[in-house]
Amino acid sequence: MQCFLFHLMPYASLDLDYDKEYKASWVVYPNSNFDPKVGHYLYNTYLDELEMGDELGFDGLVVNEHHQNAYGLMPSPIVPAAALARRTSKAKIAVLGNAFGIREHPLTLAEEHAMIDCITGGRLISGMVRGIGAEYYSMGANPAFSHERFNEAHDLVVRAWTDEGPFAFEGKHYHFEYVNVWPRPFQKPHPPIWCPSQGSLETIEWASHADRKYTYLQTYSPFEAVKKFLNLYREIARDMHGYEAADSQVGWAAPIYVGETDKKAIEEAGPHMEAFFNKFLRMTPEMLLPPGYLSLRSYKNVMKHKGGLSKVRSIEELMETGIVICGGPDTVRERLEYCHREAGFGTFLGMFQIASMPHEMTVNSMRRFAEDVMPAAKQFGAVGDRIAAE
Amino acid sequence: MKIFLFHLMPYAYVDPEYDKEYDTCWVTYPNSKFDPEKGHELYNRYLDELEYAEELGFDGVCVNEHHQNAYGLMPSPVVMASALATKTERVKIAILGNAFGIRDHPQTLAEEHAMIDCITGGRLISGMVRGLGAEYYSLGSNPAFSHERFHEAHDLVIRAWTEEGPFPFEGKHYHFDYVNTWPRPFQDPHPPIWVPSQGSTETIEWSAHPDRKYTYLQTYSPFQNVVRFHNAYRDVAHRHGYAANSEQLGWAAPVYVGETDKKAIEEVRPHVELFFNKLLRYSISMLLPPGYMSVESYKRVLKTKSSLVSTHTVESLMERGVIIVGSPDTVRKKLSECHEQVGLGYFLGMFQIASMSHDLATASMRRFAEEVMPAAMDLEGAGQWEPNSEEVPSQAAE
Repeated sequence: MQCFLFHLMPYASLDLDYDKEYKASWVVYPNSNFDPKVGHYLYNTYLDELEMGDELGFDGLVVNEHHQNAYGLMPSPIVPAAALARRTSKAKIAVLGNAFGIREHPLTLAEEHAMIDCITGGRLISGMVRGIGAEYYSMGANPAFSHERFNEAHDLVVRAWTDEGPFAFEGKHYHFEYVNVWPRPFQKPHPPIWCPSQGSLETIEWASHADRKYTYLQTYSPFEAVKKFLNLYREIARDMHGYEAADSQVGWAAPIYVGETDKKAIEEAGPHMEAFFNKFLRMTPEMLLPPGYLSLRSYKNVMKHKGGLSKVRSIEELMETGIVICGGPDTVRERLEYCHREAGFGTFLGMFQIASMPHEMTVNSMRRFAEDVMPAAKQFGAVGDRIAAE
Repeated sequence: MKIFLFHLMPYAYVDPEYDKEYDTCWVTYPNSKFDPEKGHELYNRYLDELEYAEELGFDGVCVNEHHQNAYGLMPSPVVMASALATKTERVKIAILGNAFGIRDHPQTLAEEHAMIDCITGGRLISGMVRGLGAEYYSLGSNPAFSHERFHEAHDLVIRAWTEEGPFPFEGKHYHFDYVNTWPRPFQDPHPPIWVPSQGSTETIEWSAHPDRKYTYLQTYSPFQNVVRFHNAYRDVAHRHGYAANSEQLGWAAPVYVGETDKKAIEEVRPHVELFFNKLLRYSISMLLPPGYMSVESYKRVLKTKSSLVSTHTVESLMERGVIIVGSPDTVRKKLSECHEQVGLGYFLGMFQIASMSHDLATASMRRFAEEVMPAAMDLEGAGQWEPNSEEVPSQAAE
């Protein structure tokens, strides 16, 4: 199993009482609450943490796209990915992801990914996402075309990376007379494409298609849901697309904290984990799932598993449902091994810096993980065959 | 005078004979000609050169945006500026520029510039351009709205950087219900805005306006045009009732410093001729697509820009002052003469030119840094401009 380090780059100085006045730290939370001096410190600290991930032997470093919020200060993951390109040497750099279809010009992202892939000599992983509902408000995009545009932007970008230019592209949403991307990506035929999602059926069916076999990542979900959706990917690959999915095609992203002992871990990480789920992730239903964003069947499915998103949760409850992993090194190693045996993910993406967590605490947790958990975790072998057989 | 290093990141391996088969190395020149292994080598080499500029004491480094071509491999200067942000500590990082108005979501660039400004603690300079005609083919944009969209995107971005969000923006071209950019830029009220141009009257008038006072950069032009357009800027400022500061004016030009004049000319010849005769080669429809300029401007440019497709030599380019080439003494004197005439606040030297090797480029940079830059940085004064009541001169004449 591969271990990646995921960073959200939250605005750690968020006033946790902001919700007395505002209903979300997204879109409607005034940017006057962002202090650029704090931002300067945070960006550089977070980039240091990611670079340290490379030194500690993580297989990959992960950045992502979210607009207009205190939850994650990366409206453009291109910026930190490019900043890391020449500050790291081994780790993959995973942009998980960019919302290609939310833009009118997905080709600009195709260009940027190709540039980063060339600079790094092929260390880029290109994540493609629709973007969560809130981004549709930020970008003034119509969520009802979300799937169509995602699919069409994907087709355009993959063709731009692989077909010789110039060629014309005439889609329903995108029209370009001259597609001729300079530079082309370093990797052949193009960087691996990963699809992070919270369990959209359409996304799973699409990603698992035999023409694509894109790696599907389940993000921030109770472990039962992780199991369910990763298994669903395997089932759909077999029943609908006629092949057995490899473990490398599925991954799981979760907040994680490794303390000296279980007790210390819970005490130390508790406030930050709770702030993350109860404050940073706080969103109104219409912001999370604007009309048209999901099909009815997916909407029902997501509400069933994500219904608790807006209720207040304690660290104990988060651990119990397995959304997070928290404990001493032994506990974390055992838990990860159990989860891996149950769900067979080829990549685990740990989010170490969580909400308001300070640098030192983050780095200590990363170190403990790298020393006491990662060596064993990297030895976890493929279990998908067994899972599929069950 | 402040000294910046400008890099275009050309595809140095471009086949110099490509024009036997293709009209241009822009837009229609197939990307199968791009070898990613060579691209990997070039990008890292070029970033090394930009980082080296900081070591050598340059005040700033510059990157820019051009799509689908072998002339410059930076469809996104944001990538290069970000890569430099954490590898440099002191230099200004100038994006000269991004074509904000060519996109349908200019606020994504506002976000990226704000991020880089925060990462660098305020070392970003934000250049705003309309983009060359060729970019309108690459991005499928209508050149007829080029000026309107440039202005509207500018207004949107400035408001996004300075006004408390969320607010709605209802323009003619841009409509957003929620403008609330996180992060905001580090610099207060926002990064300095520079406007590179080849001498558009509208651009000069707009930049020099007292509400903006943006730094205007004359790019790749015979020196007489630099004089003319800089004076035009000072005239506009004067008509608005203020005296333009030298900091509001800059000039970008290819420069090469050799050991002697003779060696310099011979060493730079193949590269500079490749640059002007091959990499800058495009059809008139690509350079100036219908609607990109007013009919009046278009007529003037067609009359005067015909030399764009003629063949240049190092000698002719030096003679007209498009480039500066020579020994350290020659280059120092030349720069001093130029400064004396126009009172430049900024000189942006492009050191790596077309197919020029890393060794040649860095040797020239080093000679410049050691023997030219110290004197050049001491140059000051407003030049020989005198108030002129005439109208602003028209489009670039060459």
